[in-house]
Amino acid sequence: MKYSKEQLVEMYKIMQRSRLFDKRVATESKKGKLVGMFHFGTNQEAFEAGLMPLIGPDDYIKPYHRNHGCLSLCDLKLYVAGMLERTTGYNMGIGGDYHQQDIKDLHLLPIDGLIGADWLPDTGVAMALKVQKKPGVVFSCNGDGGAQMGSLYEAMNFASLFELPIVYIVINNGVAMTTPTEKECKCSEISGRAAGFNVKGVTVWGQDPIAIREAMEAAIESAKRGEPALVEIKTYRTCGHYFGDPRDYVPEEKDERMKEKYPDPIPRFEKILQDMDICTEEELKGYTKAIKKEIAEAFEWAYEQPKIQGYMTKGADKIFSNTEGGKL
Amino acid sequence: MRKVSYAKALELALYEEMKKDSSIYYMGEDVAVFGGAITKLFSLHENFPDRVIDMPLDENGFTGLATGMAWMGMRPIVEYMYPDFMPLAMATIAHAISKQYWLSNQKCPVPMVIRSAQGIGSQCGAHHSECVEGWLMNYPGLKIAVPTFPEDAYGMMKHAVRDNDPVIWLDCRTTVYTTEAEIPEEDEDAEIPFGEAKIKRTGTDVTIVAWHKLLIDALAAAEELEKEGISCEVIDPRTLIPFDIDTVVKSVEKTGHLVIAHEANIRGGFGGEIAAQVTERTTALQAPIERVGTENTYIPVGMVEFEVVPGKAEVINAVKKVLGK
Repeated sequence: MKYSKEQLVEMYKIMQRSRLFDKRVATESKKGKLVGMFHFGTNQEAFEAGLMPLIGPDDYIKPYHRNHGCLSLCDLKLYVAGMLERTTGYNMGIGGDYHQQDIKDLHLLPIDGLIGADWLPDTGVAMALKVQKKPGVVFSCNGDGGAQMGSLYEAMNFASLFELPIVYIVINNGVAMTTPTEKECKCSEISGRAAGFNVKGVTVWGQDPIAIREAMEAAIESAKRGEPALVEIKTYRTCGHYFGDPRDYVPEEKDERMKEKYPDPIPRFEKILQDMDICTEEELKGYTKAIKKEIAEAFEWAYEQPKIQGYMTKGADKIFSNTEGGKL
Repeated sequence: MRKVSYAKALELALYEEMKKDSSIYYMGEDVAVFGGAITKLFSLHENFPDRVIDMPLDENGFTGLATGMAWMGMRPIVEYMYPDFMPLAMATIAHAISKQYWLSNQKCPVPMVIRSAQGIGSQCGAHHSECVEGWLMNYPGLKIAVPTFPEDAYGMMKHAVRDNDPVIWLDCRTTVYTTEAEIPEEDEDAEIPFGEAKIKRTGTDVTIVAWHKLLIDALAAAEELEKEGISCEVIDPRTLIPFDIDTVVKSVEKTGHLVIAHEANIRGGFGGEIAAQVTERTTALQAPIERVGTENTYIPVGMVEFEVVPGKAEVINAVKKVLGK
């Protein structure tokens, strides 16, 4: 095994944290304590486990709305507070679950509410790194739905033209909201489209964090040389589009077949860690317990924080950095 | 002082700012060796070959690219050959640009300029002649500059580039080479802040607020009306957002009459916003406000375009109407 125990455990924790965070959001939502729409990434967490340990201090990442594993970048308390409309959370609590951002300090790029509209600005971030001769790679993620937006193809054209340090990531979970990928496009592999832009495209099975990590390492090396890459993560979403979605649109037969093809990455990885004598069952249980505690504490802390008031979001000084005496 | 055309004033302001700040990039279609399609800015690429970049024919693409650069603290300037092409990039302008300062809770400003010369003048028809300020005024996070004269273009462009907020900069195609004026020397660093209207002509009977082609027409109309004993005060707002409503209200309180003239379509044009703001602030109006603009229609190809948009005659008629003459 090329990775140390420490690295493997980190990957395990990222997956488990993502899953348990989603579960906690579901619990709070059921209690009626959360307002808004929440999107989970159940069964696709191996992706974050493969990518997040590789993100260095010079890099920038734009996750998509199912990537709670990317919260490893954030202070969980501040993120939960932001989600619960608390003024002490990120962005004063105006961002909800997935519009929280911090380009300057966390290098967490904003998720555009128009899925797929952010491929281009993310490419601009890579352009800024390139022309200012700064180190770092940009990771721009969207789903198979977001990959149908023309802007991905415009973005890849710019990235290859200007030799930008960027890795595009398409998390192809087989469904865009309720529409199966085969009804969106005829490509069996979306990564194949990259070749037309002189961008390296590769498809990885999305249930194995180690395979994903290796693919990401290669993509990062390539991006650093000014050869942008596109990595397609093929996986299967076993939850609804939003929490509460009954998934009536998925035929039972298909669901069973796909779950077999894309098994739950968490027990799968647990088995590998135990079979290879890297972790004992007790150790894994210990990590899980600690993560649950961390999440519970973040929620407890966040509920105690002051709620945002409408007036706090208004005013010329909130819109413009320089209001010219307030004349609007 | 230097006597220059509007286009030259713009070029000098950009050149001087690019010399000072290496984070300024100029991006657009055919902007490098060709110097841009409408205003020729040759010296930019001659002096900063790495920072004046030709872009693929993809307005959405290079606007998005510039947006990411601005998020990172750079100061990109984007040029559209015609502002009619702006809808191609509207998702980026409406969200990634205009909302970012607010969404980031004031942590991430977007210091970029999007510029384009608008209106008739190229005889190129319906897809190359629009005036677009009305499309943009409903986004809270955009500033809109509409300079008409070289001395304003010079000082205001310096401000636009230095401003930390996104600026939509609209030039007037019919005046970019026809007007000439004196601009300050480089060492004076003469920046003109946004939100300050300029009274181009003082008068007592009627206030005319106008910009771009219609400002030139309004000044000519005022000249002619003077001979008939009608005294017009002509105000150039110079920026629409922020808008210097105080100067307009003060003038209306003196004259009691208001005409608003712009080349853009009347319905949903910025003139309606000015009319509303004036009536909210004063009871000095002695007659209903008159708006001059293009009737809700499109621009045909060829010289007939001058017959479709209003000019001096329409301004004169409007002034006489509000004065009951």
